Amino acid sequence: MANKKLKPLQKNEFETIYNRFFHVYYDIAQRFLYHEEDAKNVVQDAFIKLWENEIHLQNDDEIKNYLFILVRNRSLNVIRQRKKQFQTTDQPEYLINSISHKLLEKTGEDILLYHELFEKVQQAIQGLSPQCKKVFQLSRFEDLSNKEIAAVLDISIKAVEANITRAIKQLREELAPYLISKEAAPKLPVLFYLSLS
Amino acid sequence: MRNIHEIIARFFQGQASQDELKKLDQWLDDDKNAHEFADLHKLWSWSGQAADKKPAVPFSETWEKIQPRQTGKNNQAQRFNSFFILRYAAIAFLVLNLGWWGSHFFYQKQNQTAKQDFSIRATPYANSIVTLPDQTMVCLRPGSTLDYDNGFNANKREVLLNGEAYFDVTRQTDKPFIVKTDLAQIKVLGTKFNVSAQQGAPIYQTTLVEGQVEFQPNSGKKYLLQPNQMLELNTQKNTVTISEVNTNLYVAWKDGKIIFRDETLGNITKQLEKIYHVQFIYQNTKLADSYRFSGTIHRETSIGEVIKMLKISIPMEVERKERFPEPDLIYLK
Repeated sequence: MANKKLKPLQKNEFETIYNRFFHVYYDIAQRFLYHEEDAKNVVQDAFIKLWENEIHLQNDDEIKNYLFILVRNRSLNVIRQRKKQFQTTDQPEYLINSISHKLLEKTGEDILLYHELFEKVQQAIQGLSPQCKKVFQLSRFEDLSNKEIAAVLDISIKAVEANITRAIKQLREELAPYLISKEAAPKLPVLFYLSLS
Repeated sequence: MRNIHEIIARFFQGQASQDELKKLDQWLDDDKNAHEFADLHKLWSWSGQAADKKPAVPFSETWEKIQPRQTGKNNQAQRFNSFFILRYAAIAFLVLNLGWWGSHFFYQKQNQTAKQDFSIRATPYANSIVTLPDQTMVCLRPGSTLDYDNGFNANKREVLLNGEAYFDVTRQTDKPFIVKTDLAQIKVLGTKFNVSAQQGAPIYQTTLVEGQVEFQPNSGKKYLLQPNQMLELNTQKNTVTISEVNTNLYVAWKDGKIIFRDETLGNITKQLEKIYHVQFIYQNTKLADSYRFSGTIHRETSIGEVIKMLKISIPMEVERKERFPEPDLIYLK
C-alpha cells in the first residue's frame, strides 16, 4: 500500500470533480438546511477541504463518500449553531431545525445512490422513443389509466399496452446494473417504476 | 390528529403546522422512527431534484478562495534529498509561512471591508424567517428575495427587497434601517411593518403596525406613515394613497393565516397560490369575478379542505391534478 505512488489531486482534476458533483451536494445540503446561502457555504467549504487535505482518493466512490462526510459534518455544525440562536423551542423554525438534526444524524452516504439513480432513470426515460415516453409518463407520473391514455393520445388500448411493455423492457435493460443486488433492490426507488407493469 | 405518515408528507411539502412539527419532532426521538424517516427523506430528496446541474457557486469563485493558501501547498511538494537542505527548507518554509500568515491576515482584513453581497431567497414553498446581523427579524414570503452587503450594520442598515416581507426592526437611533425597492425606499428607526413590492406588480404597499416609517418613491417627496396606515404606490401612474387599515389583514400571512375581506374568488385563489403549492385554472372565466368572500384560513388547513369550503358556496366543479414536484393544477369549471 505504502509503496504505491499516488499523485495528489491536480487542479484540472479538482475542477472536473467540482463541476460534476457540486450540484448534488448543494441539493442535499438544501434539503437539511432549507437555506441557499448556508448550503452554498457548506458545500464550497467541503470542496476547499477536499483540495487542501490532499487525501489521495483513488476513485469516484471514495471522493463522493468523503465529500458527503465533509458536507454532512458541516451541515450538522450549522444546525447546532442555529439551535443556540432560537429563543423558544416551539416556534416552527426551531422544530424544523431539530427535525433536520435528527434526520441528518441518521443519513448515510447511501443518499448519493438515490441521486445517482434519479439521473440514470431520467436519462433512461429520455432515451425512449417519443410515443413510448409519452405513454410511460402519462401512465407512471400522471396516473392515467390505459383507457384514459388511449383517449388522450387517440390510439388503441392495445397500442398503449404495447408501448408500456416496450418502455419497461428498455428501462429494465438500461438500469440493469442497479437492479442486480437483491438486497439493495427493495430500497431502491427505481422499483417503483418497474414493478408497476 | 393526523397519522404520522400524513404529517411526514406535509412536512416534505412545507405545509406541516406547528403542532404537527412538534409531533414529528417527538416521534423522531425513537431511533427506529428516525431511521424510517431518514429513508423516506432520501426518497423525497431523490424526487424533484433541481434540473440545474451547474454548480451554484462557480468553480472560479471557490478557486479564488483557495489560491491565497496555495504557496503552502507548492512548497510542500518540493522534495530535497539531503537532510540538511531539508532542514533549511523547513526553516525557509516556516518563515515563508509566517509571511503567508501575515499576508493572509491582512488579506482577510481587507476582504472584510471589501464589498461582499448576501442574497436571501425565500424557498418557493414556505415563508422564510431570517435574522439580520443587527437582530432585525424578517419574514419573507415564498419566492421573495432580500439582498444586503457586508457593509450592513457598519454605518447604515440597508436592504434591497423584491417581493413581500414583514420586518421587525431593532431600534438603533444612529443607524436608520432602509428598505430599498426598485421604485421606492422606506426609512425607519425601529418598527414593525410590512412591505409588498413585487417587481412588475401594479401596486406596491407598505403597512405600518408599530412606530413610524418614511416612504419615498424614487421620484417624489417623502410620506410619513403612522401606525395602522397603509400606503399604496400605483406603479403605473406613480400616485400615492394613504388609508387607515386593519393591519392584521396585511400581516396575517407571516403567522400562516390568510384573511379575506370581501375579496373576489379570483383574488382569493391568487393568494392561495402563494401559500399552497398549487395553481388554479379557470375553465369558466365568469367564476373569478362573480363570487366574493370574507373569512380566515389557517395555514394548517389543507388546500383540499379550503376547496371543499369554497365548493359549498359556489356551484362549480373542481378537478385536481397532482404533479409533484410541480405545483398541482386545480381546474375550476
